[in-house]
Amino acid sequence: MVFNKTKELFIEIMGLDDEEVTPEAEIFDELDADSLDMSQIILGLENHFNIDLPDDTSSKVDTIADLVSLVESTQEAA
Amino acid sequence: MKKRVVITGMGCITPIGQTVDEFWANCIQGVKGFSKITLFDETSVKTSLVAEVSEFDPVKMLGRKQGRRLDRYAQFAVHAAREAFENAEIELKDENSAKYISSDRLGVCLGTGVGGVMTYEQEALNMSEQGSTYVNPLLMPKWIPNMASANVSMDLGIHGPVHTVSTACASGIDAIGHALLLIESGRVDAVLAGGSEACITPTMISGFENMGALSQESDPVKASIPFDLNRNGFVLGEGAAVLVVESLESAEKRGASIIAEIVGYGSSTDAHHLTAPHPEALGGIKAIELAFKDANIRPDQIDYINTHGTSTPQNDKTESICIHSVFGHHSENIPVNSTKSMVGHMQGAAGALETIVCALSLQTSFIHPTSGTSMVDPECDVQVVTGEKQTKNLTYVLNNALGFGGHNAALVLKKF
Repeated sequence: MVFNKTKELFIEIMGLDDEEVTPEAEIFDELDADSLDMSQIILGLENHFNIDLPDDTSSKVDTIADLVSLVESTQEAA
Repeated sequence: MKKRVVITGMGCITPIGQTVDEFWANCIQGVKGFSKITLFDETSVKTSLVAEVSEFDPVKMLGRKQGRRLDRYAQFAVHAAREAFENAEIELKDENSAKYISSDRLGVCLGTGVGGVMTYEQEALNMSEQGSTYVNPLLMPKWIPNMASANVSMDLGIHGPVHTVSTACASGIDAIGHALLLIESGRVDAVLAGGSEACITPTMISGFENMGALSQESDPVKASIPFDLNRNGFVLGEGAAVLVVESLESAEKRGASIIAEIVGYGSSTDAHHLTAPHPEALGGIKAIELAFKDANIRPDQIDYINTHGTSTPQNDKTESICIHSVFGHHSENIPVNSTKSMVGHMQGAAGALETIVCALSLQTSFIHPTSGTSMVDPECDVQVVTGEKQTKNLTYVLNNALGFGGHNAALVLKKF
């Protein structure tokens, strides 16, 4: 569920193709996300799951799977 | 001694053509670019006709990420600037190329009336319907009015002065005028100057509609008919027009093809009313007189006028008074037209597109028809070109603009 929403946001905001957004995909080196992309994606995740992600989320994640895990752990902690 | 300034490149995106060639081919035939609203739910407003740019794919032009990061008005600006830049054959990297201009000696100056209002309107809706956390973090970099110019500089690698001019409907001419000042003074060698606008939104339409400025016609032939007895307001248009304005010295050094010379610019303000021009057109007259003084010509040397011609009852009447006052009996010999009869009112881009029209008229000797105008209002006693295009050898032409807030701008172009 978290993965599907994360994938949807990457596709919508960055115009990526469906098959590009895999759990292993590296957000910055491979998908070429920058701070403007991440600010939109993080806000989208926070709104959808009603959570507050850490301010330094971008520096804590490398792959899509990392971001999904961070969202899941934030949900559990809430 | 100020430097002479010429036009060496032109680009546009309009409701009747997405290149200069396509636009001009339709323009001289009097093709009207009006249709029903497709950009949003048309039933939310009373107005039925607009002049939209159709079949425009920003992602194809800018790539999948950038295509989403620019408001439509900035996308249009980049589109038109690319064509103008290519047309002028400017080389910014290879210093040994004959076409070379140093990137810090090249500037950008674009006009816009309202900037990225389409983005702003959507985000204001998100704010009111869903709350503050649903406002896109890209709101500011998308909607602020300098972003058309800024994105053109980023797209082409331009490092000189990059400015934005906002004087409502006079923005396009004033942007070119500002470019002229930068070049004449020797601060830069060339400027990509013009205007862009994309404001066909429910709120913008409603605002214009409620002040009675928009045509409520549903028949495209009868809408936006400047100087006609039955004129009934303007049709809101969108698009962009950009010209490469360059010192003659730089153009000759580069071996550039010169399209026309810009010899005079005049700017004045009515200081009279929020929206209405001065009843005796004092500000408009002043702007034209200043442009003639700058060009060092007499009124009787003007061969053609591309008017502001919005098709509102008040504008066209005041503009006719202005023309009579400046030209006297000579106005009987000057053909006038309004490009807005085909592309609608492109607001901040209008004056720039009309400057392209002036340059093309000088080059081709064609004066396009004022499409749809058939019965000229006796209160607008000017020589309106109706029906078919006219052919006339032109030496000096005048481009006129009057904007909300009392801004008046005039530009004189000369055949090169």
